[in-house]
Amino acid sequence: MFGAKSIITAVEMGTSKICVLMGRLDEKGNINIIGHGEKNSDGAIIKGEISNMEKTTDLLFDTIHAAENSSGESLDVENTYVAVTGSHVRGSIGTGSVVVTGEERKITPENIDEVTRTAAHIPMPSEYTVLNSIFGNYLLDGIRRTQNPENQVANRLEVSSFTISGNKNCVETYRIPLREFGCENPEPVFSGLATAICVITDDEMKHGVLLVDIGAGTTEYMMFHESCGCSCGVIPVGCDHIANDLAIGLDLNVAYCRKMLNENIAHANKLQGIDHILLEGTMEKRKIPINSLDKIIELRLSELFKFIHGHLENEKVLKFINRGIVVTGGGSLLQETKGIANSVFDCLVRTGLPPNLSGAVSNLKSPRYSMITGLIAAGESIKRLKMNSKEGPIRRIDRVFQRTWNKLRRSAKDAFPF
Amino acid sequence: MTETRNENNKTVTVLGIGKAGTKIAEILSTFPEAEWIKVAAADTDSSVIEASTLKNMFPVGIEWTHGMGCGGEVIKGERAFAHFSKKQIETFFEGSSLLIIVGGLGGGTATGGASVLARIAKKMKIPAVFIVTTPFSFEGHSKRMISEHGIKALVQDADVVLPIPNDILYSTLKSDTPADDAFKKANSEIARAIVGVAEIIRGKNLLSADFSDLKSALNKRKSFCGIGLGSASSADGPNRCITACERLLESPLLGGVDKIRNADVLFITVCGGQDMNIGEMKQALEVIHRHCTEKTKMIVGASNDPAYGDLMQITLLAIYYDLTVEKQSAGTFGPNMPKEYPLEIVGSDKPPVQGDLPLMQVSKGIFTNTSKNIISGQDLDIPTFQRMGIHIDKGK
Repeated sequence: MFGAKSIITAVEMGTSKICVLMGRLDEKGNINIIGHGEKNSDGAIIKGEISNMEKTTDLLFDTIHAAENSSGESLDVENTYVAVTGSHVRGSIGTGSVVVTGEERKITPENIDEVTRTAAHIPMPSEYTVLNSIFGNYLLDGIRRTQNPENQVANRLEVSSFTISGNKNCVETYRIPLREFGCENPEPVFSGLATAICVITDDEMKHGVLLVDIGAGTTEYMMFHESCGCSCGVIPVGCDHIANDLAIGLDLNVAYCRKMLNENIAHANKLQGIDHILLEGTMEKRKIPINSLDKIIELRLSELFKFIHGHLENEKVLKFINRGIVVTGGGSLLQETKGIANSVFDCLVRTGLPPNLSGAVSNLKSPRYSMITGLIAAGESIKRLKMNSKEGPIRRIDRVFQRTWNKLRRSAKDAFPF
Repeated sequence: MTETRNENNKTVTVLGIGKAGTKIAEILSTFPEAEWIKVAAADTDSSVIEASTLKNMFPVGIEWTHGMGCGGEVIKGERAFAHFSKKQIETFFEGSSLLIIVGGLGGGTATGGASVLARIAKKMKIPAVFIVTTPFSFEGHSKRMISEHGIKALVQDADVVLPIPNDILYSTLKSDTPADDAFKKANSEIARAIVGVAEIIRGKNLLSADFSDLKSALNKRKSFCGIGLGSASSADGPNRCITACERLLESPLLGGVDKIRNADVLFITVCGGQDMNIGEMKQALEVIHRHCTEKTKMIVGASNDPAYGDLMQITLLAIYYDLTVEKQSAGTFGPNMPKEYPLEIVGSDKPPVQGDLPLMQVSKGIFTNTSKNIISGQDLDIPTFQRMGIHIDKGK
């Protein structure tokens, strides 16, 4: 069932697109994409929430069909992973501690299992469910730090964890469309975490970095420090809000505003020394000042970054942004994004791109695909964990995941330095 | 009339007013850990007084209302307490260190009586906390208005007013919960919260939370309150602290974990028996701390008493200020309109001129019929420039 050659299917039901990727990780740690299907969401998903289930299921059917056709393989229902987002998602830091017993006080895999389970157990309301847990370095006897404590000798073993949870009903809503395809138990992965797997380097994660993934309907952020998560969240504002602001502010059609943003028309005009966008239609002829566009975009983006700044400040983790900010997602393609992030946080900002991909599908090297490619890697590590674990369906991502991650990060670092 | 005093000669007096207040007082009197609290109730309806199991039960204004209650008339409730029973109440309050008045607003007895009691407490210089429930929205606009006016009047004289909206019950309880169970649970939670509040005045505090802390945090502002309550004993499993925290987060009168995150003030008391250890206290407070933000003011108290046995109880009052009152008084209108409106016209080389009046029509465009998107009191679906009152040059 979980053979090494089995194919991972990653499903993204986003505000702008429904995307399905089929792939696997090869021996070198590269993501090998063999199938790709994509459809415009066409209003079925608004602000990251499924608003029209029937339409979503129909679109998903077409997308999965397209991915299957391009890969020549059929969907592996046991290895399907779905990205989950929404303002209900939250993260909690936990710690676990166990006393090492046994003759020589040698740490066994059972000890490690117990300590991670204790760390991941966070009291939460009954309407919430755990999505993913990640673990930081292990601490032996309160002094020694190690990445792998197995077979080391200690009296006490501790570990810090970061557990991401979400509202049960909201998470279930993402899984229901996949059940139509015989996929009874698709694994949910927080989309911010999936993105991080792809775009954050090892060094960044160790010293502290903030990832901001600006999608069409939502913006996910996730903060890492000491090789573990320390804060995450979702702000239900994305590029669609910018398009909507432009449409309202400039009396334009939303579709035209989306086109303006996608094609960066304002920037192209600026490069040519033109300070306006000429609107020529059947009804009107108008010169829209580029300054007006810039102001609307700047106000929205700077508000978005200020919200994230405020959240991190409240959680007292702002000081951990030592390696700057990585922006990704469709919103990172806007010319203004990096500059505004820099002015709000006053630190280095880079654009996060998916790492080197191999395989038949090669047109995915855009920040728009960071999350979905990361989801393949997350799926691969969860799959391996399932193979090795006796503990049942706890959705955790740990050492196996981190080894995979390390490989990916190395290639990402080489490819996209600051 | 018996008086039970604790070691430091501090007496906490709880008075339930009206039908709802009487029910809560009855439940409170059955708790072993509340034995040191002086509990009584007062009502204008003789049928409630006769049915009550309380030792101290005051019939107020019975001669005047003929034992028929106030019939929802606030003025009757006010007169019953002010003219007919004032002396009796004053005698009962004498020697108290803290008064906790509990009742359900929206009717006549509690709404009218509460403000009279607030004035009596003020005159006698006894700190008073008013824990009042406000009616369900389905009970109609008139009842809601009565309770709103009641709170407004109460805030003037009372030290601390903690209004708990009954609607909060919907947010966590399932709709098929029997109504009787829902109300019983709500009353029991309020009774337990009273114990939590009463513990602050007690001399046996391990971690001291002063009454003045709570008073200064509220500072006469109109607020709303959610009550979270979790208790667990050793019989509930090896980690009673975590179990208590989980129960607290699911508490029906808290209204979900988001209420902790959005609260302006969190008032927390951790109570337990002699076996309660510092690790458990730390763990409980850490769990709550994890759900709140840095801006939240936290007032924490902890105490132990053998009466709790092996029970551990965490009480949380999540208090939010009613910002609409401040906004109205500031004379603003529309969502978060700035007080001064900028003259700037973006994207134009012309000198700044007076823009349109601030009655800018806000629009959500494509997000008009979507779920609400409110963060920090701002509707994020409304364009940022509109919320900030900035005028955009659309070109010619």
